[in-house]
Amino acid sequence: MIEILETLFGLFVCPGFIFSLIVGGLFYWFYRKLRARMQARIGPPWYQFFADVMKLFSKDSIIPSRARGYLFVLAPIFSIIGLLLVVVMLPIGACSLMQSPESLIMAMYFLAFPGLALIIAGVSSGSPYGAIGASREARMMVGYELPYVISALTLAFHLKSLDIMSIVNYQFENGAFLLKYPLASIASVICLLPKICRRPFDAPEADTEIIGGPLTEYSGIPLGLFELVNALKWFIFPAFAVTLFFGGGTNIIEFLLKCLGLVILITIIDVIFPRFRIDQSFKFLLKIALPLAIIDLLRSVIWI
Amino acid sequence: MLDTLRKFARKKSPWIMHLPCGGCNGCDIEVVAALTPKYDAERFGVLQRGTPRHADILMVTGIVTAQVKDRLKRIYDLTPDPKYVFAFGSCAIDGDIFNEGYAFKGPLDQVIPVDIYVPGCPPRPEALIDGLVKLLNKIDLKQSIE
Ligand code: SF4
Repeated sequence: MIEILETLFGLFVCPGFIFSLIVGGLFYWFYRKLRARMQARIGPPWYQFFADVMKLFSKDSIIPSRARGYLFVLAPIFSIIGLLLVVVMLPIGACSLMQSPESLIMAMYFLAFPGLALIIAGVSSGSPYGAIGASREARMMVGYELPYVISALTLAFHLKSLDIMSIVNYQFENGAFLLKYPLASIASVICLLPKICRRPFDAPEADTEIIGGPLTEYSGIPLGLFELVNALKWFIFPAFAVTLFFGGGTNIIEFLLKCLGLVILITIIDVIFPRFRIDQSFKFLLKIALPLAIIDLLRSVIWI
Repeated sequence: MLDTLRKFARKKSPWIMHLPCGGCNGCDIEVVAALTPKYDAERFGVLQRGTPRHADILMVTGIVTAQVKDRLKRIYDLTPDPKYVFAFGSCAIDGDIFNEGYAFKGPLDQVIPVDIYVPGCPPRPEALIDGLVKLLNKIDLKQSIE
């Protein structure tokens, strides 16, 4: 009984839903603030994300008659569940809640959920902008999933293990994988940008071209859920990268500081680059990120 | 408690949809200028959204023309409640210089209900921010009456 309660507490409070929501919301605010400061503006106050979400939850939710009702509503929930299952597998502060010998493979699958949910959302909303956004996201996914997975598999080949815990423990003893596999780390960080939907790879949600992309028809509570997904993404994707390549963290503070460093890096890239066209970003991912990842994969396979 | 939170959230996060109808474009440039570094409306939580489904405030500029009248009503219906309409510029209020034109189909408040008027041809971005603050205070009042 106590064990079940502990698991539930872990899943929903710490390090699960509420903890990652608060940290993600603050990271998201930090991104907006830093972007504003870099553009010589003042930027929103720290509670901005929470106010946005609360407002959206208190608004009317309209489900358009052309949308497929259940898929339309389930898409954001689907993506929240995927991200939550990843966060219990991450060792935030040296030990993780759920351990299994295949956790790396599982995490890779669950991290693809937000992209899939975006495609489902766009297609099921019955709006032409949604359909365009979904098709762009699908095309991007082909580009970014491959280098992302290959760069993670490099570590698995090096250690002959698919356990996230063993990757972290190895890094505690021998230093971060960033030094051993710099090319794979770069490929993985490049793939973070399309995963969080930031410039130069934000073509699926390009609000100046296709209104709101897949989220065009969303309003009220479902849109609020997508905002939650956004905040969770800002925490979980950097956290995953920190766990795999930047040495994890022996305690929570160190871990969060490393995540913050990655958030700053993403923000700087986001501010200084314009948006790639969809074919340009596809080519960039396959011509630059993929070879980088493959070179390090070959190194790890051959040199052992 | 819940009510205070809701009121707080609504005041702190007004998302705007900019809806240019049929003016001379002067007002549209002022609306965009309010979001740029000098005036920075994002410090009040303002975000510009492209779709009426995400919006709280419809920022209407320009006269209501024969072409735009039905579409304007439709966009108003697409916006989820609670929604507010912001009539920006003299055109939206009474037609201004286009008052006697053949395409002018009445002031904005005869087509959709308007919550706040900001006159000027065009009003300055400061006027927009001032109007926004007044509108947000009005949200407070409106809810306490309800
Ligand atoms: S109010 Fe003046 S500036 Fe604004 S749209 Fe009308 S004519 Fe142009």
